[in-house]
Amino acid sequence: MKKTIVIFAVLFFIGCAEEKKVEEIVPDVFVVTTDYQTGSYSLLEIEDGNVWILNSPVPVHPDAVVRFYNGYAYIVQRYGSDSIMVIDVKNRNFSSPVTEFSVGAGTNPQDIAFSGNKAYVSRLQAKSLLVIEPLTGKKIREIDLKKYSDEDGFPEMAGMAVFKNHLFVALQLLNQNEMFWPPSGNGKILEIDTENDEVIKVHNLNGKNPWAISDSLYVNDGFIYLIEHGSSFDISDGIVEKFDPSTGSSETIITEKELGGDISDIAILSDNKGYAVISEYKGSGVQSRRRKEKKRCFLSWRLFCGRH
Amino acid sequence: MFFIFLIFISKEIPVIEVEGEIKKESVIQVIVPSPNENSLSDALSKESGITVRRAGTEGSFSLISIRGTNPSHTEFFLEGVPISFTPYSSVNMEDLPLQGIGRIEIAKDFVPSEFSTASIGGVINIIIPDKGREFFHYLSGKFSSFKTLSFTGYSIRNLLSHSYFFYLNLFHTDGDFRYRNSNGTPFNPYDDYISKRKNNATNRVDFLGRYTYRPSSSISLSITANLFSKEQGIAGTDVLQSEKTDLKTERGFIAGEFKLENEKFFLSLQPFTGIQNETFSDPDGEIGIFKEEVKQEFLSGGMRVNFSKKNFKRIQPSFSLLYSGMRWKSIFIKPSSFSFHAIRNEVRLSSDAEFSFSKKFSVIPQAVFYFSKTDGETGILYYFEKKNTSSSYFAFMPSISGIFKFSSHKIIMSFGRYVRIPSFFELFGDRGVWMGNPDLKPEEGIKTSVEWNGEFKGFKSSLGFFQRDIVNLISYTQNSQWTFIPENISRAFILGFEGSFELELSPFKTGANYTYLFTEDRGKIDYLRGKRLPLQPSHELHYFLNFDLLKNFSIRYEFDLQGDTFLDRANMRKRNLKTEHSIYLTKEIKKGVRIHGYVENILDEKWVDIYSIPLPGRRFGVKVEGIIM
Repeated sequence: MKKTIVIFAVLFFIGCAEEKKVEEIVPDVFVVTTDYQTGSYSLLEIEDGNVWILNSPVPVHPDAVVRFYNGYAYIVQRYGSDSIMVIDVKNRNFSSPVTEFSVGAGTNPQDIAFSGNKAYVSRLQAKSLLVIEPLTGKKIREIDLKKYSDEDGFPEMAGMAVFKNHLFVALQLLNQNEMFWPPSGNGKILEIDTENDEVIKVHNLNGKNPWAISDSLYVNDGFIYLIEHGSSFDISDGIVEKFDPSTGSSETIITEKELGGDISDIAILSDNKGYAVISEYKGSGVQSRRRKEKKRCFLSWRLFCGRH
Repeated sequence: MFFIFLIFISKEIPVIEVEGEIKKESVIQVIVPSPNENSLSDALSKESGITVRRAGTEGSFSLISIRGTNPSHTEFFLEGVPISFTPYSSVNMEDLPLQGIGRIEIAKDFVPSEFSTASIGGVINIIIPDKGREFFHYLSGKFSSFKTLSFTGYSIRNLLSHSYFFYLNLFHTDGDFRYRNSNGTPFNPYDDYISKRKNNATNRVDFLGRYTYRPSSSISLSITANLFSKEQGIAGTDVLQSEKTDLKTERGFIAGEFKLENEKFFLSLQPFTGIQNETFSDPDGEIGIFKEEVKQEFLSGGMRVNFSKKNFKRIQPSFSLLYSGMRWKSIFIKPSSFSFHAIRNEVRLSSDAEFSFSKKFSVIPQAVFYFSKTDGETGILYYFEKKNTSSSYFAFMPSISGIFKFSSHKIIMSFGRYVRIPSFFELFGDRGVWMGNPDLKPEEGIKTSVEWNGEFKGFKSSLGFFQRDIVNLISYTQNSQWTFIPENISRAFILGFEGSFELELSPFKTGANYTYLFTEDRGKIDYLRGKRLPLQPSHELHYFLNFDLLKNFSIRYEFDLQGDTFLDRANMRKRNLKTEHSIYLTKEIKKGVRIHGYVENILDEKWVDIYSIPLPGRRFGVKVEGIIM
């Protein structure tokens, strides 16, 4: 069986200038790896064109993503571990975590977002958004989101982004009572004031199941780009949506139908160029889960520019 | 707390062997469970080259592996009839009949032809006790930690040409032991707390009966029936304990035997059939991905023919044919209605012949032919598909064993090839945390071993070396949600050494056995290549010291050590050295009645054999046994 390794990376100090050395653009890369059996993390340091790899002896949960904030890497360890591991990247202390704290057994944390001295943890299988002190895990409060849930009682909160003291939380609104948790309707974005931790607005999305492998909410140039994946076995019901956090307006910029497959991830290079990772199902329709992945490029948000 | 138990012991009841087929005794090791051993796992865990992995208390899931192989490699037999006919390639030791009662025959490497297999993980044959007396009745009651109650009784009656055997075991445990809960944060000991295992109860009823009719000294007819029912809670992981998830197992098995034996030959015909139903229910999706209820039915039947020729010059040929047909049906009730069924017919033909070149040296060449045909619908829930399948498979497995005897010493060398196709459960099974993988390929390998056994007055010892080289090793691995899925390791290498000794200097008796294991993943995946195989400890030591204080009182100390092991393929999760000290006391109150008490894991050390599944610490127990004969 062919192994798939999924790599989640945080790039520090990303620069963007002409005639720069690689290390000036990407000085350090912190990588969390998983094959869904074992997880680990490494640091890649680039110096004079050479790459130095520092592998950690510390195992992490086999289903994990990483976020970076104020010199620390926060590894969100999902279902089965349901905890956050904090690594001191600033002082290159990789041999042992600063701390590791639980966010509630079985709650399945998805993302962590930061605002000042607070961190917000979205949990797929919980009804409240957790507010904690990021370096200790001490609970500050829980924001009850039950009233935004669908019939299964869970709002399925996923990716988050902070924009001008406002926290935006994507709600997937999946039906946990059914096989493969299909979306029960279009997703939503909750807007939370990080000063008083109150929900101030609910924005309806054009698509279903805002989801992606690495970055749930992709922020670029003042906009939030959402991959709304739709159903797990429908390759034509997903979209990429551009959300303006300052106005709450949104528009669909491309669909899975146009791209020809499930959208797994996107990267925006400029106002008129972006990349999407597409999964196509082998065989006919939804009968097989075997996928092959292709990268496609779309121009002006709507036009293909060929395979890459 | 420390209990001192009074005990009674009757004098050892002589085991009178019943005449039977010609077994290649030289390559079979026989274990007679002692009263200290409450289960098959207990008895086998104290043998060299055998590793037991447990998932909780007595009654919980327990697997064995022989000489570094996987649990799915070992085949189980009851009086020569295959009982790993169940769809589960990895047989739960706790589900086997005659726990702690039956004599156990083990072939670790070279497997005599009577078993019709060349299994790389050896075979275990459970033998119904026969004390060789007109009547023999046994009754025992046990109470031990975690509200564990067990009643076992068996009765043997030999009346002229008729004999019967009845066995009944009733077992209950709450399994509610305390353990240290890491809170899902193994690197933060400050948030750990003590938890109690929930939903870990097991109720089990096991009945086995056999009737034998011997119209003449050379002919016998017998029928054996086994009925088994079990209901157990599936407790989940250490952090995510379940409340409602459970597993119900029901089994019925019947085997007949016609035996014809005289001075020249031995012939046995054994038709058998069995059914096993299993229902796994996880109504709230506590341990699986979905809210799930699945029922799996397994029906099997077949015939075993075993023939051996006696006193044919210096050659003892044996021939065995095993046909078995299996029907597997998987019915999903939740989360959606979905079912499929498949049929597999297998024929195994095995033949060996012992050539005795002299009284000291003999050679046994063996050939095993395997053919199977699978038809039907297959699929697994997570693939959400069902497809028709039809496949056939043929394999030839040659082996050779050489035996050299001198004085009281014996050297056995063996070499052979083995092949195994994935079982239905490995391909399509679903038990919530145990899932199938329809992409599995057959595994094959080469096994080699050299063993020496010696005896000098009260001193017995043995040494052994073994090696296995396996292609496409089928191994269960845990994924991120602690679900076990079998996968092929494209190449694996196992090398080991084992040694044992036993010394009797009345009133003392002492002994130890040690196994060293080197395992290596030599597969194609770069970051896994060179790593140790998971769940295979590098060292295992068992030591005992028995002291007969008085004529009817004995005390026994046991020490078990398991070296470090990795719980995952990438060798990131290490389990350190595991040790256990235990004391057993036995006292005979009056003839035929004895009390037996024990404290196991005296130092209350907390370990795991499988990641995230805690094991109990200190355990106490008392057992009263009565014998009428």
